[in-house]
Amino acid sequence: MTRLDPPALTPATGRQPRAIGDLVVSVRRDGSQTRLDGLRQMGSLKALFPRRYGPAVETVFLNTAGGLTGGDRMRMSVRADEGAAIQISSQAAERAYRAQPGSEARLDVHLSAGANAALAWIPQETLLFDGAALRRRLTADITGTSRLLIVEPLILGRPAMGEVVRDAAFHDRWQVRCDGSLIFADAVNLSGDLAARLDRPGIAGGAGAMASVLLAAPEAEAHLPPLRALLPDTCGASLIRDGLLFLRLLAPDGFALRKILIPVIEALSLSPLPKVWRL
Amino acid sequence: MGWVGRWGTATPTPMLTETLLTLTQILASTYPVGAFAYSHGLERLATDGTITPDRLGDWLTDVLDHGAGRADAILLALAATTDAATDLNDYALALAPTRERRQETLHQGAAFAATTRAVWGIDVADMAYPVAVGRAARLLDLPSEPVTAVWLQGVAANLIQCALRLMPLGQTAGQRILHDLTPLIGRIAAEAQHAALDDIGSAAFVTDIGSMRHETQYSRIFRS
Repeated sequence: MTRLDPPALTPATGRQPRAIGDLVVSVRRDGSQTRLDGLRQMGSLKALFPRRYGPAVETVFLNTAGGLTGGDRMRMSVRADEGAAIQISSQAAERAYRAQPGSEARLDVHLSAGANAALAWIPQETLLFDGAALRRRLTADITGTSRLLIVEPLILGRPAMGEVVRDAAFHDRWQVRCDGSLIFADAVNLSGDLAARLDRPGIAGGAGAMASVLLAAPEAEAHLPPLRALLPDTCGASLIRDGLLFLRLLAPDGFALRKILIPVIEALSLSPLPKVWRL
Repeated sequence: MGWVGRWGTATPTPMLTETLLTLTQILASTYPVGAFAYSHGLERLATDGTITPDRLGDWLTDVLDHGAGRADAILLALAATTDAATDLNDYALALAPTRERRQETLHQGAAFAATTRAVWGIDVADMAYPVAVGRAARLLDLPSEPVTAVWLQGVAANLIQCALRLMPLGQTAGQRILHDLTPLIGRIAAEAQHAALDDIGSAAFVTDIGSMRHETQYSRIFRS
């Protein structure tokens, strides 16, 4: 009952979707290399494959619709078969714009990694604008020998640019299963007057940007002491259980968050930092 | 069940005294779950100066309304009204954002279940604390909404007890804060009765980070 199945690509309301995208990428091991095994692109989601610098396939996805708004339906699926490695990031920050009342954008991501496979999901920031309504689901299926890295940064308004979010709805659901058992879930609900909400002492203490980072890997524990040394007081890391490391990061704005995140990604990813992530 | 589910509504059939006494017994602060050892990250936040006596009420509001409080209330209510306890327990444990928060719910839940099994002879397994309480409520035929409300009040009262040891806060001021939370607790408990699993969601990032940073706190009196 706790499994979150991705919804069908047609909207339940009968409202005409504004943009639809579907992207499926899979990679397999071939000798000492990882090779692209499958690629399907539909609608406004495209994948780019920049020159690789490490043993993993580098993928950068792109939403050609130029942002998300009510009625949009985006679906992505990334798979690394046994022994393969892939790192996927995004070409640009994802902008969630004002949605019509009663409508929302949906983004569903499914990640899967086989035995001894490595998958790093490192999109750039998601920016919530005033009036945005975004419902996001991320599910992952891994094995006890897989290595899964998830980095999701979120920017909640940009006060320096006069962008204050007084009314938005953001729902984010993560579920990670290892050999079929649910080992991690995160459920974030942020709705209403986000600027006021973020000022609350138990919520974000005035921060305007946040990120959640998960590493599920057999060697996760070894990363904890060096990671802690990288983090300022507004961020934390915990080895929730063996092989499962989770971080929450808060920062005043997107730039400050990126300065904290880049060394974290460099410490946790097996591949070099994606070019799109450089400051 | 004798409880008309809205706060402030007259209850034509009052809860049976025996039901009421069972409810207050299993949810009493003296029930041996070890709650006094868990500060939910408050020890770190108080030490850092993030949460001071004048901000304690706001922080508790966030924990209840936008943190583990509402999430746990929904888990408790679902466990009290369905037989999905195993799935609910898996989800409750998966949702723990830190090692100490996982221990907090696991250890209190196991202690609650052990005592409740021993005293009432019911088959409530070791589970996350709110799921174990909800399951016990179902097996003991206790009404879900008052159990949810009193349990939430107990969570808040325990954190205020922690605060008394961590910051310059007097007993009366602490009780005033708890009293001020009454409408919120009633509202969350009522809303939890109509919520589904996917309604669970939190945003208490500062609180999660406080718990993470508590792990490395040099001098501490609480386990979380």
